[in-house]
Amino acid sequence: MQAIVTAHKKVIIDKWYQAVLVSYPPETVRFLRGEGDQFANPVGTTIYRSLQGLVEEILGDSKGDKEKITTCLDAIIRIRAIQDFTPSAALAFILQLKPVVRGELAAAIQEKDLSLAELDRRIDDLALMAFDIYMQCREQLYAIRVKEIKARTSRLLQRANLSLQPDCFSDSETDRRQEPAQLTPRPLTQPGIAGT
Amino acid sequence: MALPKPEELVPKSYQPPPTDWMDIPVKFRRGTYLYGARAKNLEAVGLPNPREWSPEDEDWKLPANWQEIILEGLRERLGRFRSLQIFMDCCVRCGACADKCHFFIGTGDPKNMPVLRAELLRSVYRREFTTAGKLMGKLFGARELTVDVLKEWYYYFFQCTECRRCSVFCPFGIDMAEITMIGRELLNLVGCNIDWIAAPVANCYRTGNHVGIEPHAFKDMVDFCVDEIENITGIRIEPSYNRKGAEILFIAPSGDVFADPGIYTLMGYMMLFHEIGLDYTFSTYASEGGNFGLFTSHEMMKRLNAKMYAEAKRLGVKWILGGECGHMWRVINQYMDTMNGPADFLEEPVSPLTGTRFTNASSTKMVHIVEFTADLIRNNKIKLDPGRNDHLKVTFHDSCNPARAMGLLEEPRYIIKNTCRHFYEMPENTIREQTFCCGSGAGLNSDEYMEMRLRGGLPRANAVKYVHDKYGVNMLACICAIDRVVFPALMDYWVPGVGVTGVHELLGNALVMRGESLRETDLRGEPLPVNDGEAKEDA
Ligand code: SF4
Ligand code: SF4
Repeated sequence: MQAIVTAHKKVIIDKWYQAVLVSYPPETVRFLRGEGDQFANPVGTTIYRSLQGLVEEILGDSKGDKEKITTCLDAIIRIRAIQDFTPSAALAFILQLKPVVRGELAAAIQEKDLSLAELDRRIDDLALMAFDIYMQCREQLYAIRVKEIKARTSRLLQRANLSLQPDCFSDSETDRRQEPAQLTPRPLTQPGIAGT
Repeated sequence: MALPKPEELVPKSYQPPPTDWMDIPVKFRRGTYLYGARAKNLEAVGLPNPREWSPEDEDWKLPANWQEIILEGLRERLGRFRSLQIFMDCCVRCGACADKCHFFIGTGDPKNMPVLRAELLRSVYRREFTTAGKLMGKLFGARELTVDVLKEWYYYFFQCTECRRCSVFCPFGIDMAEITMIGRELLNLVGCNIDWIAAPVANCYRTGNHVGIEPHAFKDMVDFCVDEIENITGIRIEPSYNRKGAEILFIAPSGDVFADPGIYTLMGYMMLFHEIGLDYTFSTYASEGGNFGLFTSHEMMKRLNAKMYAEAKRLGVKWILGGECGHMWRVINQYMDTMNGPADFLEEPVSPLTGTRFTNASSTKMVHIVEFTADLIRNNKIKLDPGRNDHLKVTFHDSCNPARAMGLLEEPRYIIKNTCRHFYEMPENTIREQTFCCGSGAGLNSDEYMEMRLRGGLPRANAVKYVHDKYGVNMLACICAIDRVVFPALMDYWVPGVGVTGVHELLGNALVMRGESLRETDLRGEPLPVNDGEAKEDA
C-alpha cells in the first residue's frame, strides 16, 4: 500500500487541490493556481502547502502526527471560515479527498485488492477535527469584534469608570436603529465624562 | 432523500458562473457589508436624502430622480477632474493590476480585481458618455445604471480601501483610489454613504474629532496620559491647550487619544516634546488629524480640513506638527494646500532644536512627526536606550498613505532602528511602495465589517506571520492610527502573539529623560526586560 501511495502522492495532492479550487470563481482559480509566490498569493499557496502536509500525514504508514494535522487543517480552515462559504462548503474539501484517492488508485485497488477502510476512517477523523477548528475560528471572529469595540474607547470608559454592557454589542440592525451601539460616543461616554 | 456529495455542497455560484460578471447581483450578507448612514448623521452636515435604511432592504428609498442625479454628478466630475476622464478612457485591460488588490487576494471575488472595480463605474460611463457604448451596449462593455448597479457600487466601492497598491503596477498609473473616491461621491449624492464614515464626519464637524469628544473630555484624556507618564518616569509633564502664541500646533489622530494601543503613542509624543522642551500646544478644536471627509467627497474633505489652518491662525503658531496618521497625511500632502491654502500666515517649518528647514513642507507648513523625530536623532538631540525595547522583535508595516502618498519610507525605519535592537523586515513585495493594506482603511474599520476586514487583511497578516515564524517577531510597528486600531484584531486572528505599536511608543520607551526615575515598566505597564542601570547613571 505504502509504495503505491507514495508513487501517486503528487498526483493526489494536485487533484485534491484542483477539487478545492473549484469552489472559487474561474478568474480566481487562474490566479490561485498560477501565482507561486507565497506573499502574492497567500490563499493558493497556503491551501496547497497544507493539503500537501495532510496527504503526507494521513496517507503515510503511521497514524499521523496530530499536531501537524491540526496545523495544516487550521491554516486552510482559518481562511475558508471567513470567506464567502457556508460551513458545509468551507469544509467539503476534506471529504473530497475520498473520490480523489479512489479515482487515482482505482487500478491498483482492483489489481491488488486493496482496502481503503483505514484511509476512509482517517479522513472521517479529519472531518471531525475540522468542525472544531471551524467553530473556533467563527467564535474567535465574534470575540475579537467585541474586544475591538472595547479597545476603541477603552481609555474613555476607564476614565469615566464605565464598562460596556453586553447588550451594547447587539448585532441586530433593528436594535441599532433604535439604540446605536457603534461609534456614537454620546450615550456611552458623555454621562460618565460629565461625572468625572 | 439522498445525501449530497461533498462536491455538491460547494455552492453553484462558486462553480464557473454561466453569466457575465455584470449579471451577478450583489448579496448583502451580515459581516460583509457596512451599515447605511443614519439620517441624523447626514442631516448634521447637510448631505442629501437622509433616512433610515439598510443595505439589506429591497427598497433603498432613493429619490425619484436618482439616476438623473448620479449621471449629472458624473458629467460634472468628468469635467472637473481631468484625471477621471483619462482613467475612464485609457485602461487597456492589461490585467497588471488584477491580482494586486488585497481584497481580491483575500476574498477571491473577481469583482475585487481593481480593473473590474473600475469597470463598475466605467460600464455606466461608456453607456452614457460614449457613442460606441450607446450604440453597442453590452458588446462594448456598457450598461445602464439600475438599482442593482447602484447596490453593486455600494458593495464594492466600500470594499476598496483607497490604498493605491494597484496603481503602483498599472503602466498608465490609473489610480483606483480616485475612481473609488468619485464612486463614493456619487453614492453620497443620493444618500448612500456608510454610517461608519457618516458618523465620524458628523462628529468631526460638530466637535473637531471623529469620536465626538468635547474639549473638556479631550483635555481629560491627555491629562490621564500625564498621570501615567508620571507613574512610569517620575516626571510630570505639563502640556498646554489652545495656547495662543505657542510656536507649534500639534495635531494627532484622535485614535491616539482615546483608543488602545494608540494612547501609548500619544504618551511617546508628549515625553519627547517635554524632553526637548518644545514650545507646542494641543488644540481641543482641531483635535483630530484624521479626515473622513476624504472618504465622503472632496467638499467634505475640504470642510473638515479647514479647521487645522483656522486653529493655527487663531492661535498664532508658526507651523503645525502632525502625529502618526495615515489618510490624514494624504489629505495634508496632496490636497490641503490647494483646498485651504496657501497658509501664508504660517512660516516655513524649522526645527527649533536642530535648525533643519523642512522645505518639503514649505507650502503646507505641516510636518510629519517621524521626519521631525528622525532629524532629532540624526543630530544627536535625544538620548536613547534601545535596550529597553529588547523584549520586542519588531517589524514595520508601511501604512499605505505615508508610504505611497508621501514616500515616507526611511524615517520610520530610522527611528525604529535607533530605538530597538531587533528589527526584521517583511518580504520585499509586501513593504514600502508595495505594502499591503491593513484591509480596514478608508473608513472600513467598523466592527460589523470584521469578516470582510479579515479577508482584506490576510495578505498583510500573511507576511507578518512569515517574520513571526522565522524570527519570532512579536511586535508590529506602524505610523497610522487606523492601523493601530485594526491590527490587534487582525493579529489575534491570523498571527496570535504579535502586538501592535506606534513608532513613538517605541521611542517613548527608549527615550532617556533628564531627571527620570529608574524605569521599571514600559509605557504599557509591563515589566522591563533589563535593568536600566546605564540610563540612570547618566540621568
Ligand atoms: S486602491 Fe487598494 S483596495 Fe482599492 S482596488 Fe486598488 S488595491 Fe484594491
Ligand atoms: S493595470 Fe491599468 S491599464 Fe492594466 S488593467 Fe489595470 S487599470 Fe487597466
